[in-house]
Amino acid sequence: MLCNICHIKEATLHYTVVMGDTSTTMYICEDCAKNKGLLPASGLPIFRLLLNDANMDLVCNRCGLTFKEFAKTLKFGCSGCYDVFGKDIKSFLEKLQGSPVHKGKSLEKVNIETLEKRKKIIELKKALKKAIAKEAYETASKIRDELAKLENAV
Amino acid sequence: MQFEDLIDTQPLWLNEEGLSNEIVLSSRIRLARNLEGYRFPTRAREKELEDVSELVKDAVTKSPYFANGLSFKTKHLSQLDIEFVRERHLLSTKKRIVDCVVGKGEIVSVLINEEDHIRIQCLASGLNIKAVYPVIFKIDEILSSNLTYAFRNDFGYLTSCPTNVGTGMRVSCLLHLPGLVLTKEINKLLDDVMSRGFSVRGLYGEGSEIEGNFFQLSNQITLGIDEEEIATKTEKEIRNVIDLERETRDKLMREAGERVEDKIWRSYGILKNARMLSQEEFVNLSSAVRLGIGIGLIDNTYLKLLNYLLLYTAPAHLQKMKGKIMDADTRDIERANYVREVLKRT
Repeated sequence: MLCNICHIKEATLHYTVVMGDTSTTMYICEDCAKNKGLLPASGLPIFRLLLNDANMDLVCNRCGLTFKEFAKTLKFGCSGCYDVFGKDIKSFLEKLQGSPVHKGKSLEKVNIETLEKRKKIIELKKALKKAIAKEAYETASKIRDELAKLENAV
Repeated sequence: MQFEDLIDTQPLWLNEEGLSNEIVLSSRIRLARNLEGYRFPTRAREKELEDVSELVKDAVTKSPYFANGLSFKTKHLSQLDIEFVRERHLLSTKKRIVDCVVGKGEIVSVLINEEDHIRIQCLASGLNIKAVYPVIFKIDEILSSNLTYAFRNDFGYLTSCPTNVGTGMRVSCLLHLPGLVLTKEINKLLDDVMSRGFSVRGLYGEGSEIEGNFFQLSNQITLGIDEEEIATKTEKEIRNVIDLERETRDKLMREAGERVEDKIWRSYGILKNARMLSQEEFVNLSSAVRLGIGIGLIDNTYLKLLNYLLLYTAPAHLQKMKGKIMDADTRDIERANYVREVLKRT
């Protein structure tokens, strides 16, 4: 079996990466393993092997997750990460899942307006609790009206 | 329903009904979803998680499957109770502080803020992926119309871990495969199954050990394939394994029938008479008796009792039932007592 990285030398090592319920195996020659810093066992995150064509300097502008951090834990921080790292993880997803594109059920485009309304509803509910606790009943009544309007609109 | 009612009722997915129940204990579908506009649980701040929890719980109450259900936070549970819900397959990780909403009969449940904001789970006894499928998607639809899911056309439903992205769907069955284990053919089967895109875990899912010859088989791929295909392919794989296990049991009985019968009856004898039983011992012995039922040696009415005991002799269940914390030796005595008592109920 030829090395998965250089495709020239014989692979003498194999690394099986297990993530959650999935695993994938890579076959590597000693030289490539050394070059990737895998020899001796340096604790280098093995996931980097699968992400070797990615741009490590990217940062998600919504949650601050850096691609380097992602490469260590393989956990995204928020939906924004998919927008920022998207291009770079497509080939990784292909190696992991066999395909980079979703073919299942689809959802209507994320309605940002509805999202904002839902967030506002949560804020108002909290404000309502506070107002009632303070016995500010007039304020509470105003908040209740606003809430009713919003909940109907969503 | 109150939390304390759980111990008094057996979850409906653990009854002895269901297809191929001599091999398949239960079937499960799990969907992973996240909300748009909130960081995923591993990165979110406490306030965000509270907001997510409120939003999701509100949406869940709109589903009739959760009427008269139960809601709890692991933060408010004792260590014993956390272990208890883990034994009941309501929770798989001990690590995170999560909210859980459970429907009647414990057939459906929603975990909030585990690895993803939302994990919807539906269970059925025996091989019954077909019954679970419409239920889980009905719940998904209700949540979807009351929440703003994180979704992108090319990536599908967004998840914290890329191993779940796309459909976010995991279909699995708990299989009892003593034939394949006894004939040492299990490793070859596992390699085959894994090479076809399925994974195998122990009785309690990810990170758990193989106990009592139980194997949880589930799909690995969640992206690039649609939901129906995942369900169909996984069921097909499971049916193949069931057929193989049945063939192997036949072969085993032809070639070593007396030895196997002896092992089964000895196990039955110990369960009916022992004065001390560790959980490991119970699980192994009941596996032999379960095999006995499967090959028609022991009466089928025992299956119901075995399923019940599988849950109720687990450490947290045992202690909650007896109303006290017990050390290992006391548990072993109580376990043996309880098993003897229950097995008289035929």
